[in-house]
Amino acid sequence: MMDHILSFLVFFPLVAGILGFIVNKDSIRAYGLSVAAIELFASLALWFNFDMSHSGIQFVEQASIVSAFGINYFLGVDGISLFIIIMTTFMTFIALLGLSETPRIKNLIITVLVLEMTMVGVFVALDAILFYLFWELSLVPMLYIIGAWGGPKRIYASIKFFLYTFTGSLIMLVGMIYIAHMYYTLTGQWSFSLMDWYTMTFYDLNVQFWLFMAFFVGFAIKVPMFPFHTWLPYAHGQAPTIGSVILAAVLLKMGTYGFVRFSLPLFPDASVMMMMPIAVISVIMIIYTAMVAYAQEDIKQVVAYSSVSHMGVIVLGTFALNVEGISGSIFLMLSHGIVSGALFMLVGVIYDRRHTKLMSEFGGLASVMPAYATIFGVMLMASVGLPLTIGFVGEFLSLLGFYKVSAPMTVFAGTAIIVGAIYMLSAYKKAFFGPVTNPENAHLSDLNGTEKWALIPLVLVVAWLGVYPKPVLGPIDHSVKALVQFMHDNAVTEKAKAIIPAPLADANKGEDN
Amino acid sequence: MSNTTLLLLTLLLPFGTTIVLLGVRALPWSHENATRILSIASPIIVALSMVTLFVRYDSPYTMELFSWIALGELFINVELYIDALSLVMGLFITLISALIFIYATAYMRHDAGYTRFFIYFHLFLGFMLLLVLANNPYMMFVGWEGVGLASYLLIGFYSRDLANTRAANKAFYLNRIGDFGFIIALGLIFVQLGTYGLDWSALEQSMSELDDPMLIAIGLGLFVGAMGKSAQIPLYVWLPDAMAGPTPVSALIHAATMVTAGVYMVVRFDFLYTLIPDVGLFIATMGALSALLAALFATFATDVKKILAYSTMSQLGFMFAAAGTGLYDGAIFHLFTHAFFKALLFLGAGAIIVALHHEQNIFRMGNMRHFMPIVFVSMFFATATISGIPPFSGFFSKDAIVAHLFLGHYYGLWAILMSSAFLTSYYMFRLFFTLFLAPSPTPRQTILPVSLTMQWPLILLALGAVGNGLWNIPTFMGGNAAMHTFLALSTPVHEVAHTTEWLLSMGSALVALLGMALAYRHYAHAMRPPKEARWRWLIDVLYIDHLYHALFVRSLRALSLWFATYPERLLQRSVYTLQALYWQGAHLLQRLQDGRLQTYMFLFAIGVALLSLMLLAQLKGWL
Repeated sequence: MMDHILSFLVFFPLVAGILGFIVNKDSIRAYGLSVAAIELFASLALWFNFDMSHSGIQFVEQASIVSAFGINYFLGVDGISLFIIIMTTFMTFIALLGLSETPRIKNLIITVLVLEMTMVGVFVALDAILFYLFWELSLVPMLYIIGAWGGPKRIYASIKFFLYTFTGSLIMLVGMIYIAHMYYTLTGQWSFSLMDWYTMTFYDLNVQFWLFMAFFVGFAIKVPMFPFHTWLPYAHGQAPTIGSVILAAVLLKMGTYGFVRFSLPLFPDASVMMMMPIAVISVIMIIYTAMVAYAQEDIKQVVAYSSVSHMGVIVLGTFALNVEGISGSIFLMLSHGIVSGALFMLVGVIYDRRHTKLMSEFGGLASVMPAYATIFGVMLMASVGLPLTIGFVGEFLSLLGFYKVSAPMTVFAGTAIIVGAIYMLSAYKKAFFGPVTNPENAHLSDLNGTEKWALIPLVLVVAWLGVYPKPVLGPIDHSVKALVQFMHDNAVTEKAKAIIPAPLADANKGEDN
Repeated sequence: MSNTTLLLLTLLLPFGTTIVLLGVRALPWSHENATRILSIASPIIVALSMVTLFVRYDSPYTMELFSWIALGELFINVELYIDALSLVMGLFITLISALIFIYATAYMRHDAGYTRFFIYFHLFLGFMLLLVLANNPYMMFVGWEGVGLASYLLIGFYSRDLANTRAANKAFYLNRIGDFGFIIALGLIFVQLGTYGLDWSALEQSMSELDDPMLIAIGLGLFVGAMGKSAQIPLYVWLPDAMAGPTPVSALIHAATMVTAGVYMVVRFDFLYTLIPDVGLFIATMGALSALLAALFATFATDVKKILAYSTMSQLGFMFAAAGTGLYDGAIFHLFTHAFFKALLFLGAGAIIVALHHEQNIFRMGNMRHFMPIVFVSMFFATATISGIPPFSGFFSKDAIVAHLFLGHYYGLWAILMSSAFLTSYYMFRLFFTLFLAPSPTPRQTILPVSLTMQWPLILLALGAVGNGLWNIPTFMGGNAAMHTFLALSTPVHEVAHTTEWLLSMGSALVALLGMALAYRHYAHAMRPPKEARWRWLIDVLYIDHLYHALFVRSLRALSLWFATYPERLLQRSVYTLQALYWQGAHLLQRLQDGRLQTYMFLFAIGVALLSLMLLAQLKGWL
């Protein structure tokens, strides 16, 4: 079983999704949940069978697809992707658990299962074409979810979402083909395998730079980085709750994961070259979107913009190019997935009851829906990065990592700590505190059974990984150390070697002494 | 039980009780009694184990619990540290908290949010203990933020009134600004000293390796944090508003937890601040100015809790003046005595407020000595103590600071603090005489009886407030300065004659008595609220709140609206424009496909012609 666990993880949701067409409409919810649960347990099994002492890829599966062009079916997992996969299956399960949409529910659940397959596929693929395939495929179910179950402007939103991200990834594809061709000229063989690519060094810095940029465009739009971010709040504004949850929790992480998997190890010199420009963009993005979040009247837009702001911290941490920053940003991907996913679910809860997301329509909800207010409060505190919640660890580490690079820049980025608290708490105040002014709110029902079942596990994870992040940080640290060491060794210029630390060499030196 | 078990118990019991209470709250039946028992027992056990640790103490020790973050070069352990300083802090925090908890069980009686209140209360205590017992600045930061969270929850406890939520948010924001300074310092410490280890003893060793600018940056960053938590200029504005919470919350914030954190932090980093005396002087100056400004505000305030809030800020200013000029144990001694009398003042005020149906304006009280004799007596001791009337404890602790400033040649600071001390005595006795002696302006409505549970803590605190100065009577007065010896912090020694010391002490005492006498003349016989027209600017605390509002709140709001309106719209529109261009182009191309055979043939002919030309050009070598 463990030999083909990754194939199982990728294709089980697809097969189950297709089989879902023959399931009775009344039992489709239970069916979807069981499939997502099996998938979740399978990904947990991955964790338990994961060799913690080993920093490289594990559970490798390899088969040739188009041997003439070196396109392989090549799957594998390391400490970096392991927890993102678990987060994906976990959040899919939770999102299905909290699903409240009823029209055409069968189609929706099947779509979500297919989407899950593409998401897991992106994170386990180690062949560039395979990666690209899953990456692009993931657009289709999401397009359908927004376009079919979204708000009044859903068609426009879904097309914007699709075209925007599609344009970016096409440029990435050109970059991939170029690299494969380079590999061909070097070795006489085509290859899209990432492991083969890692063995190449791009001595021509110009080439390295443009390849970096080709990938960067694809990833940056997905993240989404400033100024390409406008598709996201718009898509969130129109998407149904489950769409927003998965979009924020998982789809955005594909972009930042791409940075770690492709950009950093393949182009260490270009990464160093672009470190500061990207950091500047990230800092602008962090502060700018935090400010825009403060001006929003719609609570879902507040959450959407705050989610973009935190993605900026992830990018900043990644481009610190040291162990603390990269590990921190990977941890922050997980915590962002859980916290922003939870916040979108919470917004969905109130939207289901009132069919509005305007904060001015609410007020005093804390006295009407105490359990809801409590969970919202916990997630809010996690979002503003309070210690002992999951939000603190990743944010703190990402910023700390960049602190090593440039203290002034990090201090700028850190002002978002203050602005973040301001927009979140003022939104919380508007919606939850004060007297109940709107009579429509006076008799809202508190969280029901399913909603509690969906939200409480999230609260537990937020507390657990906030207090004791070590089980997750350990494997991440291990793989990231190897990654940074690889970047150091693979860098062409002395300048890049000087900036990228060599964590493993240091450790060995320490042992020798 | 071994020390480590006790230590663990001290730290975990408040958190454990929080979790148990969360469970209790979920029970379907009334949980007030269960909550009461837990909320009395748990803090008492915590206090007793802290006392035991204190008694058994002979040398510093650590206790490692688990590794929190181990990543790259960063290793943060959850580790506790016991030394004289953390013991003294822990001692008064737990003792006073226990009394406030007991008082609160009666004060909050029949409140709909009874259990919720105590959940937050236990959380508060737990985080405060974590802050004090942490063995590295990072765990301290965890406690620090936790305290901020608990205070946010408690200040905004009655959330139906938006004013309370506003006060809670304000406290959280200003503390976040302070935390921002703290976290900058944490980052610098890690980047500069991370490889040497991050616990207190390692930092103490490695700190001196840094050069001055870096030390100053770290020192200032930490102090910004302290300014936020300990309500110093310019981050103090949350403290007067924080009285929006129930009165026991104020007592807890002002006496045992929260505001003491900043002072503790500066003293904990004494090894840093002794290296940078300039920053120390800056701290002392901010402290002295805060002391004076707050005393002025208190003199014109009419709300009993506001007066006490400003008095806290003022007293904290004294402590920073001491710590900034190197008198670390003086700061801690004053913190210690202050905790007792400030808790007593708030609890006494709370009793009166409850008895008078939540009246808080002191000029509508009056004549209370007849109705509440125990409160009257205990409040007298508290007032005399904070005013620095000998021989109560406040006199010793305050005099030590003021005399030190004079002997250390900080005459400016000394003058500011002497004036503040005078004002303190004046406004505190103004409060006292107006409350208890002055005739009541209106016929007294029914006075609610004060329960015994609320009176016992008052009596115990009064005993403590009066007597705890005995622990540290200076040697020139024939005492043995036991706390000074126990803390063993580095302290400047002033070689002066005993007469000088006596003269200085008499000066302090005189100033205090003068303030008291003046207050008696003005306020003991009639209600004399401040004249609105003349003192408006001071009653409105120099319009600083308005200024901050205009400067920061409104500008931030305006800026964010601007961002959301212009650049964000522009970005969105540029996408629309691209899209529109695309559509336009598509429409143009669409015209070519008009379905008429003639057009297609025409285009086809042009195409063939062009291709032929190109072929011809190739063959003839024209290109």
